Formats: sequence, C-alpha cells, structure tokens
Amino acid sequence: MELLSQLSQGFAAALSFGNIAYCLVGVTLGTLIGVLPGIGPVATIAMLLPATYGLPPLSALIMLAGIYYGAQYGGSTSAILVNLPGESSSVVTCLDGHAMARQGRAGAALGIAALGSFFAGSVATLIIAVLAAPLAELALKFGPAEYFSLMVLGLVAAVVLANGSLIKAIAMIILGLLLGLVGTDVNSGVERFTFGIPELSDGFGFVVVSMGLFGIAEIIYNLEKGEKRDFFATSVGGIWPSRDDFRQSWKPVLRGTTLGSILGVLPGGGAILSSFAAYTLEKRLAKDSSRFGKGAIEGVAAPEAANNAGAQTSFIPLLTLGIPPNAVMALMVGAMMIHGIVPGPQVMTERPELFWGLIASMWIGNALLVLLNLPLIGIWIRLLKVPYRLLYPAILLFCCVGVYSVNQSALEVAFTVGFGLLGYLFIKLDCEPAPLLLGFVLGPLMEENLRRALLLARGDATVFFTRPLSLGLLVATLLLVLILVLPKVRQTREVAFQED
Amino acid sequence: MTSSQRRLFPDFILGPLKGVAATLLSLGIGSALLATSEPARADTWPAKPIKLVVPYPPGGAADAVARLYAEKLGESLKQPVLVENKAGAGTAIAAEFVANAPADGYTLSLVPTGQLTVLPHIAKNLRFDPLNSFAPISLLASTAVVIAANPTVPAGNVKELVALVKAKPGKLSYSSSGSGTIIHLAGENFRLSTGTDILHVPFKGSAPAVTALLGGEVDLAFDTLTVLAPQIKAGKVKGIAIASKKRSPLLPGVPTVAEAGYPDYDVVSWFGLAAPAGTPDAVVKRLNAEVQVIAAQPAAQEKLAAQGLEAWPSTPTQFAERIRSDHAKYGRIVKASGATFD
Repeated sequence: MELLSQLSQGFAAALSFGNIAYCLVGVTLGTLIGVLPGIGPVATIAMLLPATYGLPPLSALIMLAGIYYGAQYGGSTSAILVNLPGESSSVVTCLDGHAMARQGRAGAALGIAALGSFFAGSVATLIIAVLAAPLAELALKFGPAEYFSLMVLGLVAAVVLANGSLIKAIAMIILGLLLGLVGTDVNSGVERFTFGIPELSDGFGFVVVSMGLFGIAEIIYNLEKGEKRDFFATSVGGIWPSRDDFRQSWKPVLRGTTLGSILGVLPGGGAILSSFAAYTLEKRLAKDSSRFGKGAIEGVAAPEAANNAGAQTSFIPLLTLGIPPNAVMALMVGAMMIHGIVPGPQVMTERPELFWGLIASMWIGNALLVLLNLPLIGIWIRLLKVPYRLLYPAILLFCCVGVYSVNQSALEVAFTVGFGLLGYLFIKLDCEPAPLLLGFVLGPLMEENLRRALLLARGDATVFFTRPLSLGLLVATLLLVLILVLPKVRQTREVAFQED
Repeated sequence: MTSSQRRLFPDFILGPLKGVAATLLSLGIGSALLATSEPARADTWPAKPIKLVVPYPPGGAADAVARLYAEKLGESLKQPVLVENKAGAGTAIAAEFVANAPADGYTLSLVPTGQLTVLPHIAKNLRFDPLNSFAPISLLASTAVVIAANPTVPAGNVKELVALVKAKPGKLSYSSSGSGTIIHLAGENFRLSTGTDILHVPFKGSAPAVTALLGGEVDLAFDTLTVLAPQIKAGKVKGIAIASKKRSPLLPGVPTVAEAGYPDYDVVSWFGLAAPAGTPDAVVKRLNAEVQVIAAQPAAQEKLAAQGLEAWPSTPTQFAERIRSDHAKYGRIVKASGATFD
C-alpha cells in the first residue's frame, strides 16, 4: 500500500502540464538524436544542461531522462533502416533488424522494436519502483572477480552471434580483443599501441569503430552493387507487425525484459551485455537457429526489449547509491547537483517526490514514445526510398558530425573512415563485425577486472572460484561451451557413422 | 527574443529550445568565427565568442566549474563563452591544444590540478611546457580530497588507521579514480607521510572507485569531497580525514590529516583558468577582474558548494606560484613513491 501511495505521489508530480511537456520534449529530442547516427545522448545532454538550470529540478531530470531512453528507441531505428548502430546496445539489432528491412519488413521490425521496448520499459520501471534497493545491493556484490567471470560468459556467448563459420567468429572476437588493447592500461598507466598519438591514449572510441565497421562499410558495399533496392519495397507484408510476428515475439520480449532488467543494474558493461545476452539466448532457444541473422523477428524483439529494460534499470545505481553507471548518468548527477540535490542514498527518503516523480515520468515517457514512434514508422520507411545519391552523403555527413561531437577531434573522423575500409574488407571476406565489436567492448573490461581481482587477492587466482557469484557465472560459461560444442560433436559422430 | 514569440510558445518549451538553438548556432557559427583569428586588441577585446577548453568529457566537477564561470563571464564580457570538451590522454590533448592556440584571448583553458603539476612527471612526449606554455589568469575553485573507509574497517580516525595499517602492512587497500591522478598522489603522499604500506587499486573514474568502497572490495578510498561527501553524510562510509591543511566548511566534522600529526600533508584539488602564453596582459587582467567579481557572488558560491567546491579566486601571480609549487611537490612524490609510468 505504501508503494501505491508513493506512486500516486509520483504521478501527481509527473502529470503536471509542464512536466508532461518536458517529458515530451525530452523523448522527442531523444528519438531524433537516436536516429541521427553518431550524435548520442551524451553530446545532446551536455548541450542542453545549461538550458535546464532555470527549470525546477524534477522537470530538468524528467527531460534529461527522456532524452536518454528516447535515444534508445531512436537508436534502433537507424540500426534497422541503415545498419548503423548509434549505441553499443543497438549493435545486435542491426543483425536481424536490418536483414528484415532488406526483406521489405522494416515496418514490422520497427513496430516490434517500439512495442517490445514499451513493454520492457514499463516493466523495468515497475521493477525500479519495487526492487530498487535489493537490486542496488546486487550491484554492490559485483566485485572485480564477478565482473571478470561475467565478461568471460559474455565473450563465449559472442561466438553464438556469428551466423557463418565458427572459426571466423572466434578470429573476429580475438581481433576485437586486440583492438581493445589500444590505449592506456588502467592498472599501470602505461600506454599500449598508441604510437605516440595522443588521441589513441584512451583507445578507439566505440562510436568510431561501430560507425566504421557497420555504417560506412555498408555504404561502400551497397555502392559497389549499384542502386537496385527492390527489397526495400514496402508492399510485402504491410508496414505493421503481423499477428504471426506478435505470436513469435511475445516470449522473446518477456525473456529480454528479464535479462535486461537484471544486467542493466550492473554499472560498467551490464547494459552492453544485456542486448547481446538476450540475442544469444533466443538463438539458442529457437527451433531453427539458422533463421537468425537473416531476419528473425525474435532477434529484434528480444534485444530491443533487453536494452530498453536495461536503460531503465541503469537508473537504480544512480537513484539508490548516488553512483552514475555511465556517461549519461554522470551528466544527470551534474544536473542534480546544480539544483542542489546531492545524488546519494538519501535522495529516496529526503526527496521522495523527486524519486517517485522521475519513475512515474518514465512510464509517461515510454507511452509517449510509442505514440510518437508508431506513426513515424511510415515516414521512416519512406526514408528508405530516398535515392542513394542523396541518402548516403547525408548519412556520411551525420556520421562525421556525430564522431566529431564526441571529442571534437578530426583525427577520430579519419579513424572512422579507416574502420569503414576495414569493415568493407570484412564483408568481402565474409567475416561478421558483431563478434569483433563485442570483443572490443568486453575485452578491456575483462582484462581490467581480471587484473584488479588478482591485485586485490594478492595474486591468488582461486578468488574466481571461491566467490559464489563468480563461480556461478563460470559454471554457466562452462555449460554454454558444452552446449556450443555438443551439436558439433553429435554431427561429427553422425558423419562418422554414415561413413561406416 | 521578441514578446510576440513569447506568446506563441510558453516558456517551458522555448527555454530548452533556445538553449539548443544557441548551442547549435554557437557550435557552427562560433567555430567559424574562431577560425579567423586576429591579434587581440585590448580596447576591442572581446569582439567575438571565446572558447573555454575543458580537458574532460561533460559531467563532473571540472565541467561544472567551467560551465558556471563560462555563463557568468559571458554575461559580463557581453560575448558568449563556449565550453568545449576536449577529453583524452589524461588531459594532455586539451593542454596541447591550448598551448598551440593563438594567444589572442579567444582560447582559454580550464586547468585541473594534475594537468600541469602531475602529468608532466609521468607522461612522455608532452608537446607543452607546464610552466611556460600558459599565461595563468586566476584560480577558480577548489575541493578538498577526503579519505573514506568502509564501515567494516576498525578505524575511525587517522591515528587508528595508521596503527591498523602498521599492524597489518600491505593488507589494506585503497581505491583511486586512476593511476597518476591527483587522487592517486594523495594516496601515495599519505603512504609516504605516515610510513605505511597500503595497496593502491586504480579504477577508471570515481564512480567505480566509490562503488568498490561501498561494496567493501577495497577498505579505503581517496577522492574529492564532491564524490565522497554524499556517501559520508548518508553514513554509508566513514569520513576518516580531509587531506589538506584546513577543514572543509562542507564537512566540518571531519578533521584534517595535518591535525593528526602530519603537518606537511596537504593535497588540494583545484581548478584554474589559463590562456596560451603571450596573451596580452590587459586581457589577462580583465579576465582576472571578472573572475574576482563572479567568485564573490553568493549565487555562484552556492552553486559551487552544492558540488562540494569552494570559490577560490587568486591573482595571476598567485596562480602561477601555485602551479610552480605543486609541480615541484608532486614531482617529489612521484619520484619517492616509485610509481613508474612508462
């Protein structure tokens, strides 16, 4: 009952005319910047921060939060339509989402992404309201050993992402790990593979690598093929998800929501893992996993639900512990402090109207996003009919602006072009970039936590097996390896028997 | 904005939009204007927008200090002061950029403590001279460094802590926001001053470092008041001591390390404003005068205090002296601690 009264207090605060308007401004802006490749919520919120100084604190937070989760919605749009993941979480959406778009089912993919995200966002918001405190404890139980084991699990799961050759997938993961080594070592402060270039001392940016490997490579490849895009025709199957699509999607959405809600709480890597994990899970559970990568709707529904659920629950460490789990949250801390609110464990009790108002606004925001996005689908699809000679220069321009806006660095734009050429080579060699990207993101986190865990344990490697959570994750990894290997074993045995 | 526009859209819509438009305009047009630089003339300066380079990504104390002063300077100079975040290479990218910018008063640098006083001792191939490439204008703000402990650590003050560590050398650990940061050096300085052996565990930024303290992965954490004060006030961690010579008005109950019998122990994290060396004296003087005015405003002080910061203006000479003395001090600590950075 206490929850109900708190929630009604929250809704009372969030449902004021002004706050709904700010929520709308936030989610609309978020959707727009999410769709524009490269221009992420960090740059946008940084620009808008001064404009929020004059607002009441709750309104400011509602708007900034709206930008953040609105960008998650928008990010999937560009991933599906033009194979451009603006955020790490939308990388997996590219795999099947863009494949669906190529089959003329962009509308179904966008629709299921929006509805799945809405469901996941609503559920995750409820989870914040009910379970914020215990979930925050979980985040604290995750020490370096647990993070390391989680990353190992994630990397093994990355193999499943590949549709073609297993060897190539492993090679791409390792290449990703190597690329992730570039930069300053966190433990010793030593620079690795930077060749004296200051811009490399923090490693390659995620946006740089993903824009290049996915977006620019895709453009080069399409130009080579010449302009024939009959597959983008929208006549096939209409622009809405069919009843069949819904039937196939509801379970993946549920599973994705669960995974995303849990992993989203973990600062550092949790949010990235959630969409990958959801995709992997669906691919393993599917009766016919060969459809994945070729436009399986589950491959869009599950990760989209997961990343949106994760985007919501990633507010938990901020709201309950006062610790920002990512760059966007760090900016929100700045916004809160400007308004004299010190983010920390006491916000929930000292400023309940703020905590519950923000939570209530997330529901409102998610509803606004669906209302905003569903009618937009028709417009987005028409975007696909824009001729290449207009569409591609525009995409390239936005990519450059987006990459430049991260660090105001022209050299990083050049790096992006380099990764574009590399990505083109990968397409030619039939190597998929998704496992590389996962290795690139998880590798540094894995190394950092491995070394930190060993440092804290004074070099005692058993720490990974003596901590229960870490042990559990490693056991799960082992099981996954077995599942991966077993069908192969069975196949080879069958082949062997046939030869007998 | 005209009043007719005001009637069309309520302020709560126009407010943020205005901000976006202004920022987009300033990004585009501002940088176009900045590209064509002419030598500054004291009587006409500032004739175009001024760029304030921050060596960190948006968010965090440095960015907040920059944005606060940028807004106020913009008002008093009648020209926008645009914050540009140029992160990377442990603040070296921004320092090199400003050091090589034209000394015309249109490029300014927000200088965090480590940029000119720690980085030069640990990084190779820096393309700027920490003591000669810049014209110091004024200090802007400071924040105390705090030592905090997980509640399970059986020590409530520096004396008990030192006794505990001496009884169990090498067993306790402290988290910092990164190798070679001012926070790391505060920790090393503590080790050296007290003659104790504590394990340093570096993290990527303050957020994971404090999470590790809350979760009990590490026993101690060094970080700024901005980061640790909320956790100490909420009783989640114990405030052991302030790492500088004087107590902080924002956390008056916590004594200093100096009070516990280590009078030379003093680490202050400050932020200053500098321009490229050779910037006309008149420009430096004018900016310094404006900073003094802003730092004296109660509204500005309040905003800083909310972030665990204190306004801390100075003369250009005092700021230059601060850079020189901290540069020498941290050079000694880096050497003595044996911290090696390739």
